[in-house]
Amino acid sequence: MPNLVKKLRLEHKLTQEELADKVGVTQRTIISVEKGKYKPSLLLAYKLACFFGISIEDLFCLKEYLENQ
Amino acid sequence: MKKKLLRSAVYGLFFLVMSLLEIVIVFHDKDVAYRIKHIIWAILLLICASGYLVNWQDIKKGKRDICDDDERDRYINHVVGARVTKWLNWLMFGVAIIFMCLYGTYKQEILGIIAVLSIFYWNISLILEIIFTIIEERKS
Repeated sequence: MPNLVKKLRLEHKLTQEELADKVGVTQRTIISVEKGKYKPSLLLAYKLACFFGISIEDLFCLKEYLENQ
Repeated sequence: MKKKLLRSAVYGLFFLVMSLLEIVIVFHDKDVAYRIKHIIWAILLLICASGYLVNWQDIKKGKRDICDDDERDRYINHVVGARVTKWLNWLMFGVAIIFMCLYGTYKQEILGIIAVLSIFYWNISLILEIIFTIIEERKS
């Protein structure tokens, strides 16, 4: 699933481990989410969206995803 | 978290009690060969018990919170479990068919027993799948 997690993380000058700690998951999960290989749960998506201060739709590029589907 | 804590404690106690029973048997058994067997069992059970009890302590102290409860790990476990069950079902079905054919040809009892056991496992797993599907459907 395409997303802006990596871009926003770098903008916030955070490492994957720091972001993982902030949203309560492991670094492996953040790596998978950033690569678009793993679809996060609604709770994790919400936590990430809240942390970056944007909507879930924008964070996970919902329009782009639905168009590609 | 509480479930894991309880599970570790119960398993730890179970293996501890079992190892103590084995130790008691060691002292009561007069046959040397059996004694060695029970000593080995007691050691193995003690190792299992200590593993679960250490795990229990770690969970209690909060050492294993994020790593063990990670959603991606749970998802992977879930996918792997489902895939293994599916493959095992087909494998058992295949084994049952093969051994039924072999039984038909060679008329050996053991081949028939293997075929029947495979079918039994296959049926039980299908029945359990249906039961758990109904339970989960009702839950959600």
